[in-house]
Amino acid sequence: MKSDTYRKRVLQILDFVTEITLGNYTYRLNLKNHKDDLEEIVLSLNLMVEEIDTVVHQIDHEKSTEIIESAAIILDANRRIVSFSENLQNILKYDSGELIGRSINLFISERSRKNLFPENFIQIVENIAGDRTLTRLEFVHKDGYLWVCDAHLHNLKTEQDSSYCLSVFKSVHRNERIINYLKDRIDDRERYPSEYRSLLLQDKRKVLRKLHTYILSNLDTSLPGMKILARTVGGSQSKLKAMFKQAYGDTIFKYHKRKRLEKSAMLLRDTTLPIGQIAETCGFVSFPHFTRSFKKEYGINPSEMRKL
Amino acid sequence: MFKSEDFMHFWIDDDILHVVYKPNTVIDLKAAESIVKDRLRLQNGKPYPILCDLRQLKTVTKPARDYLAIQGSNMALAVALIIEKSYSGKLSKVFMSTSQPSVPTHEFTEISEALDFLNSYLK
Repeated sequence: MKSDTYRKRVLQILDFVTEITLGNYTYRLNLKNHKDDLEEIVLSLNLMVEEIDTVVHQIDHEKSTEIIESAAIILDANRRIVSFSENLQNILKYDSGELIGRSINLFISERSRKNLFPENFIQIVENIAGDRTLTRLEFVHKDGYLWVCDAHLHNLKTEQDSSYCLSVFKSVHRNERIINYLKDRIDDRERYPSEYRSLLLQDKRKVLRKLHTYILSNLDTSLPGMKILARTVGGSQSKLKAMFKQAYGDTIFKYHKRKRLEKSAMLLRDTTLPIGQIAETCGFVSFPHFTRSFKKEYGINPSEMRKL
Repeated sequence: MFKSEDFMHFWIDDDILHVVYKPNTVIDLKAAESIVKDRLRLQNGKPYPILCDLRQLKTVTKPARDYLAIQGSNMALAVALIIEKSYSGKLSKVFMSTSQPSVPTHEFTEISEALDFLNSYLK
């Protein structure tokens, strides 16, 4: 006989699967601290939805735009919700009556409660006035999913008691083509992509991954020409160039150079290796070439980066 | 302020860098950045084979997985991931096949086997 908690969790998982089926990739399921079979399923589902989200928006890069979803909540001195922006209801699916007058603690995860509203919360808000650092905040959706966003707490100036404004932000991808596709499906006009098309996408992904791995494994040297590169990973030169730019937003060679410079910046900041050795490790044939490229990318010399 | 000690213990023993994640840790991008930064500082320019114990870990977010696959491989000769087949194994399988770490990385359920693998990278 399974317990009520177990059955509730199973229902929550099933609802979450429905959300994914409907094309909603912005929620995650909350992971519990004990690692039983159900938690393993939850972990796998969270991993799956993250990967789907990446693939969908990476493959349709030019059609997916990044937007910032934001909401605001006004809290009184006791952290009760006084008012909120309308879109919060759409995100978390609570009715207005379920939110107004109730403590914000009921709608955020335990981890977030500890981070954002510890016992000495009033003192913390006063200390961070003017601080622009964002805190990670996990809202709990009506069905128990997590909506993870960045948050900032403002101290509001009023004549009476103090109150607070909690501003929250989340970067999401919006793809008109997918939205239209899902709209059509709701109208009972189902149009599945052909099997051939999905195979093409899968092939495209495999070649792109192979190329990406090749680039990252060769940050200590120059890349061979396009002809050899195409032969190494498979695929035509022109298609590879176009697919790479579409997925990573940069040409193959520029991307390779950017990653080498990122690696060098990290080694400069976090190690005491000689600069000449770092230049060599990151595939730059001469020291002046490294300094020139570095300055062009970051606006400062490698030695200045080290002093930061 | 993120500190890597909040998420893991790490030390160098017999020329192998050991990383053990604390129980029920969630690694997001900021946490991953602090982990790599402190690891590089500890190594101070010397590459090491790394033994990374994921068995107590709760999860790693997608941006953190991608960051660890690229930047997490800096100054690493090879990485042995210690997992349990049932839970952390799911995480490492996805990490290995989609984020694709750029240095030789293998999964082990036994520490002794992992050490054998890493020792082969010591000159």
